[in-house]
Amino acid sequence: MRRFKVPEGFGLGLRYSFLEEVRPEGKKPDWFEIAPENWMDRGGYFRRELSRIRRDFPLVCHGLSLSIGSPDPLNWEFLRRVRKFMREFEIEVYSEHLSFCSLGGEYVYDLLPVPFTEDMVKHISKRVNEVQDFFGFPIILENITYYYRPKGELEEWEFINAVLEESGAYLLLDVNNVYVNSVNHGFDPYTFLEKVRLDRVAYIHVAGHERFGRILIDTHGEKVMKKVLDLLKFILSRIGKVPILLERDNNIPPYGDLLDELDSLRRALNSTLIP
Amino acid sequence: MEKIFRVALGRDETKDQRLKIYRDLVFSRLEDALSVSFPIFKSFVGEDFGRLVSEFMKNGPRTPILLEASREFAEFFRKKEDPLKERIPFLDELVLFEWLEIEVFNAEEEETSEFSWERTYRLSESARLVSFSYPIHRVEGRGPEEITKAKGKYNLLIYRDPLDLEVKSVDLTEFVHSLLCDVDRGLTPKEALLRRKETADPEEVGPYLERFFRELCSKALLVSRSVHRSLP
Repeated sequence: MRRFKVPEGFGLGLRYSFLEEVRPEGKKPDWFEIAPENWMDRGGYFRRELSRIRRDFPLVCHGLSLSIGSPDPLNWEFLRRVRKFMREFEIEVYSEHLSFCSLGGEYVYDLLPVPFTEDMVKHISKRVNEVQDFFGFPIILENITYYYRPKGELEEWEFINAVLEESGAYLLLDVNNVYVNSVNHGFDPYTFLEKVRLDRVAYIHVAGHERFGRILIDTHGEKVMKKVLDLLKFILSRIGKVPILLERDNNIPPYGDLLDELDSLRRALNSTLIP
Repeated sequence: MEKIFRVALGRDETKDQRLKIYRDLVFSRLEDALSVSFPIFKSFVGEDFGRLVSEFMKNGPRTPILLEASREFAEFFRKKEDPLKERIPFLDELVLFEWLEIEVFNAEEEETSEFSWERTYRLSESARLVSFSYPIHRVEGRGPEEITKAKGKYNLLIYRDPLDLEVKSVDLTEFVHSLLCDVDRGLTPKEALLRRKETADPEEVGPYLERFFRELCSKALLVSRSVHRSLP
């Protein structure tokens, strides 16, 4: 099985709203992350723009609809479309979510939590292996935000570690999700980070969240909060340099503002890494 | 897992505030996506749009691609009985028209073909021939009553202009529309024209049609059947 290589440095989630502003010169991210579901099998404007951006930037695929935890069979027609798209655009990194989004052939377009059980570890690991065999390289799984926790005998970190161990997949550690879950479910995020397999981290997601009453929602609609940045610094102090991706899906500011935020992250974190 | 899934689709009610978050998230994601896909349809149905999204959600989208859920929504709406359709009888056509615009906008590009009266052609993925009973392509700025009163027959070619990649539509006469349909089914332009020699003199209309066909070919809207899609 081939190894994958996540581009180094600081990436940005590519969004339609600033597509035409992306330029290879001047201030720019080191790479972009895209959801294949939003780009594949599209010609015309979107294909032309993505082809243009691909000429100048490395791309990473971050899927939404794999539904790795679903009791449904894997959707091979969908996976073939993803693989075809990745080959066309010469993308060699594929990450997805440790969750499910389909049942009985129906889809919800959101990330639903799976129970943290030994049975689910086996179920997901088996499917991850099938997907990895299909792609020919290891995939990367992201810890999700969950507002409701289905019954299960494992802690979240135990569950994640067990899946990584049994499947050979790598971890896309979403630090904002760790923070949001720690507040919503009352655990210490630093303890979580002490326990989870940081040595398996392929890259990191950071984003903003918002408070709705007593709950934090992972809206990706605000700047990264200081407490999330502190957690990120803690991780970097443990594992050193790792690719970092800034996500923004709601209240998307002008492209220039996103690049400024990415620059601030870069400065704050690079100073952490310099002894 | 089934419980959270059913709540997320709005099929089951729950008192659990945390479970309700999933229903709200799924609804909001679908409503946002469908609002972008069907802005004119939404402007006509007004507050009923949320109800339609909820009903569609409960019905259960079956595609992993959110954009393709818009096609399923259009099919869902066109099949369902709804009191809105009595008040606004062109909604079925409008929702289809807006979906076709999306399809054409996202169609894969194809190579242009030379025109010949003797060759066979098909419409490319970036063109659609449709017949509507209402002027669906000219609804903006007009009220439902005005559009309803304009009931008739509207033959359209919906296409993506390769120059600016924008989707446009052009009115076709019944004669040109049916002739293009025949060409798309596999007749050569010459055969399609000769079939109509009782209603149109080939010598007279030939030059005009040739100009039109050449333009369609130059924009890759009409492509030779011997040329397959250029892109994988």
